[in-house]
Amino acid sequence: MRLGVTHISWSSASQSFGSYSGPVAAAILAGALCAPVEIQEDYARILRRLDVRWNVPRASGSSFQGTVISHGVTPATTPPILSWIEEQDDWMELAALGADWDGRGAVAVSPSAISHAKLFLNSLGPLSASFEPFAHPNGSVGLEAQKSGKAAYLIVTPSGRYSYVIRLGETIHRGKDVEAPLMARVLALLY
Amino acid sequence: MFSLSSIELGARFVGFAAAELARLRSPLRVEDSERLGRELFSGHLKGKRLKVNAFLINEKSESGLSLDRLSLAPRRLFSAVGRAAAARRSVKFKGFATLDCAKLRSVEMDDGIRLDAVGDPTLENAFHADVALLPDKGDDYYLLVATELNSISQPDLE
Repeated sequence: MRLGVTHISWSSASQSFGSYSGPVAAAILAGALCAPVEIQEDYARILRRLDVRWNVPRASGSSFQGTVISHGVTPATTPPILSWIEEQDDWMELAALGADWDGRGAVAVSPSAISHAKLFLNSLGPLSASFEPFAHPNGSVGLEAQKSGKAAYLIVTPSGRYSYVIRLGETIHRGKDVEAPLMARVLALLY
Repeated sequence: MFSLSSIELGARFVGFAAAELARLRSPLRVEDSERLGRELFSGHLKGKRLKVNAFLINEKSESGLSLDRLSLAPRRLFSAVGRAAAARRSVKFKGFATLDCAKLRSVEMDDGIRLDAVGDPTLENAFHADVALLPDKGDDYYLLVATELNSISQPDLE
């Protein structure tokens, strides 16, 4: 489990949860600890993104119930945890699409393509937060990200190969059949 | 078996075709002023926002993009055809991504090809049009087509 390499700080965790109440934060963290390994990895990813510092409390130290949740930080945008839940919904929606989901003979989204896409996003670090998945009618997974004047569209095939279109204003870069490391480098360079 | 909507679309097309032929014009010629629509189903929308996959094709089963010539018949007929198609496939019909034919024709790909729509009547929808795409161009090419069309379209939802 990847949580082992991360440090937990109960007091700073509250800041990342913004105005959420203590019980909600406790439930989410407890959920992370009880969930299956795959889910835990997703939690770990979002927690890393939230920059929560985990310092596991010593047995002799104060328990979680004793932690004060600060309400000092109110995010102006969607709270990260809600974004994360929304993101999970996107993936579940994708996986739930059956054959012919587009009414024109689409292939159901390949679980293998989903795995490759998730692994790839994990490898991108903070940049992964801006990507949103979509279904490709040939069974691949698409990823889309937009920011001022730039847009990146990727297609991840079930075999883990990538095609992309990156728009930088009026300039368009595109390529096909590249491997994940090269795709990551192209993104780092252009997006 | 065809729905009443398909039959009505067919009858309207006969009238339209006769009028066009009387003016020595092909009924398959799509005018720049025509409003075109791409049927949207589950998976094509994020909330009310169009996803780029609304204009992606499965190269193995499609050689072009299917569109409806929305300005040539009442919208309810196209919606009924869309709903019938969705019901046969256990998906939800969501509405249309609409665009002007003139805007479609203004899209020029990086290989110099301009997109174009041509009437392509089917038994289900006589006002069906097709944007032909060259085969074997690769996922990135079709993705670029989809991003271009997405950028000039608006969702018109049910």
